[in-house]
Amino acid sequence: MRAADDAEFREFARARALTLRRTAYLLCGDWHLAEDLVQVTLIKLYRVWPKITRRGPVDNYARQVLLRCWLDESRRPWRRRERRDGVVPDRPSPAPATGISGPLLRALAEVPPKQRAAVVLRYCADLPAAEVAEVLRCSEGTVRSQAARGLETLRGVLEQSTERSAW
Amino acid sequence: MTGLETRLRDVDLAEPPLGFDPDEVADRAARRGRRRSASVVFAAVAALAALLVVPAREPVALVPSLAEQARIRVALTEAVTRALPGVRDLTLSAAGTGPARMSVTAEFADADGRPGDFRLTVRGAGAAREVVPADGLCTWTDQVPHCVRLPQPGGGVLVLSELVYKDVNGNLVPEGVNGFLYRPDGSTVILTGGLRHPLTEEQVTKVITDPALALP
Repeated sequence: MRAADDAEFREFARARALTLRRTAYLLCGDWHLAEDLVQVTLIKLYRVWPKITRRGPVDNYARQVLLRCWLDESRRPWRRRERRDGVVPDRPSPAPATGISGPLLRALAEVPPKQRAAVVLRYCADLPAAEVAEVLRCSEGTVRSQAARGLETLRGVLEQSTERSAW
Repeated sequence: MTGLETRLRDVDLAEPPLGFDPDEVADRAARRGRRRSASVVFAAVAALAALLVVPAREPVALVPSLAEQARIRVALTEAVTRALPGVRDLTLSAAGTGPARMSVTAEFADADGRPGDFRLTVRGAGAAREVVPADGLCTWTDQVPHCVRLPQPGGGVLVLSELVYKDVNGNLVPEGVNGFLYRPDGSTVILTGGLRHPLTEEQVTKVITDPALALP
């Protein structure tokens, strides 16, 4: 890679690392994993940096790579919980959420991956539907329906947790 | 726009400081790129010369082997059993591995049946750069009401800190004691308390100072 490209990449990495980690955390609910995902994403971006920068802004491409890394990671067998009773559950253990939005973040972890991705990008990252569609590589209509279903799921989980805490 | 959409747009995270250096990641990516290019050249030369040559490789931190991970889990089980007499239903969940690093989430019920959980991350010296230096640990956020640095026999330092977070009503809720053990060889052990039944300082200390909880 040329020195100018390398410098440009480093500037991008420094400027976007926190934002990418935040998105990754909202997707996976685990700060350690979020940092792993961002590092893998940056390494993958570095390989193709000169090519993708010629095509224009790279933010959505970076989100696309991050999303793929997360989906790949969540399918790996060792991400499933290990138990000593021999029962293999199918959901990872989310890290305890902190901050004033804790209950919302815990509820977000219950939303299925594709819907969660649409919700995180559309609302938490505040991207227009067209950009989310570019990241998710689908139509704007699909983004709208996935986001709407994600919100519905989220609302249901929040209502359930409110009922539980009211007990 | 619904209230839920607004809450998602305004989502507030207690973000820890970035645990890696973006420039270091770029260096790593560049090294990998050079290594890949070198491998292509090497393969061509090797084919021409019909010689089997092992290319020189710089030392890299390896992801702990499955055996090593199993050893850490056994050590953690024993350490928790010693620190919390009467503990039951202890469940360990893999929470991520990386070069010279592994994380485990532990869930349990204490002797009185109260559920609790915490996360433990063990790092070898090769992953030392991922960890916030001990010096700045007590000051990286204003949400640390209590933080002590305890020099350890034989070198190293143990930092115990208690974090708080704001609940939906703005009340400060204690989040439990977190422990950070920095060994003289650069290896570290970090225990972050869960929201349920946090461990005491004594229990955290007993768990993370266990010498078996270490990676090369």
